[in-house]
Amino acid sequence: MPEQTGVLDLEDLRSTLAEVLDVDVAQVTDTADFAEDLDVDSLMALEILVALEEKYHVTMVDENPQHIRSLSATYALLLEKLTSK
Amino acid sequence: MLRTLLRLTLAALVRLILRPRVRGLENLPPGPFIIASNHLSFFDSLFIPILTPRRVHFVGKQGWLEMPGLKGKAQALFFRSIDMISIDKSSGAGVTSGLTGALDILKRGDVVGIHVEGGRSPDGRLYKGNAGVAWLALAGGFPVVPCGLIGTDKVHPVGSKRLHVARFTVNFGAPLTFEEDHGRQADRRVRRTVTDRITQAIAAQSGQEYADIYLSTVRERMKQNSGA
Repeated sequence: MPEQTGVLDLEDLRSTLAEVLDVDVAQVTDTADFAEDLDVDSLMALEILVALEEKYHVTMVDENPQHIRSLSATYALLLEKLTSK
Repeated sequence: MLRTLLRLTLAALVRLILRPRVRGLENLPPGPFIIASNHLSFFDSLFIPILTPRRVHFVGKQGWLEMPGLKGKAQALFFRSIDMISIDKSSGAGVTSGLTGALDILKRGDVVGIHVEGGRSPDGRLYKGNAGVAWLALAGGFPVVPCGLIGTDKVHPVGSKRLHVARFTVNFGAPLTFEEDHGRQADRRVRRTVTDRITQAIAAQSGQEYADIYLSTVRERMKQNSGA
């Protein structure tokens, strides 16, 4: 499970991802593999990048969509972006 | 002119030395369409365009055009000369730009070729298709011709530094059309359904066993296991 920080709220991110993916929040577990478990294709991963960019005001579209593989991976990537802002 | 000459020369050499069986050319429709194929060998993106009687822009890895040194420059020149288009899969912006570039080519009336698995199969099985092909088909209403390659991995096995003389087969299936879902490329569930139909049609042409998992997932797991 990702370590919760004050910079980024894990539950808020979970809700955001569930909304973008149009799935129940409970399905976005910490380790669910987006591609294999939630049927997120590469283009959906792009939509996630754009949604995160808009919500968190960080540049995400230059990131590899394949790195958006799970809540944990997305959290780590976003946290890195936010802390280096 | 030079491009046509190179293409014809390569086609003649491949036909003479490797004697490929090319079946189903009557299935290629007039006008723009997408060739969706499996991927077994580095040379698949060359074999399909030169054995198809239409100008085919095959989608390849950006890395193929960016190899260092003289050999890399020659390789890039070669791939460009056979109309390869590249998609930089390492960034969201690169994927978007690559797909819109491919869509423009189709709108111009040409043919675009894509390996649906996004890479070479490591074990001969056919892996889950990526959704880019469905996005293109749905965005422009273009037909998709499923293409099954058989035996190209014998011509150039993974890791081999040279070509081996072996016959291979290119099977073109009947075109698939998705008129009922035209314009629904933003719906990922529609993309999935369409991609799965295309992948099943490729499996019917290639005779491969289907592995219901993305190739990228398999590679990621292999990477993790080798690092463990």
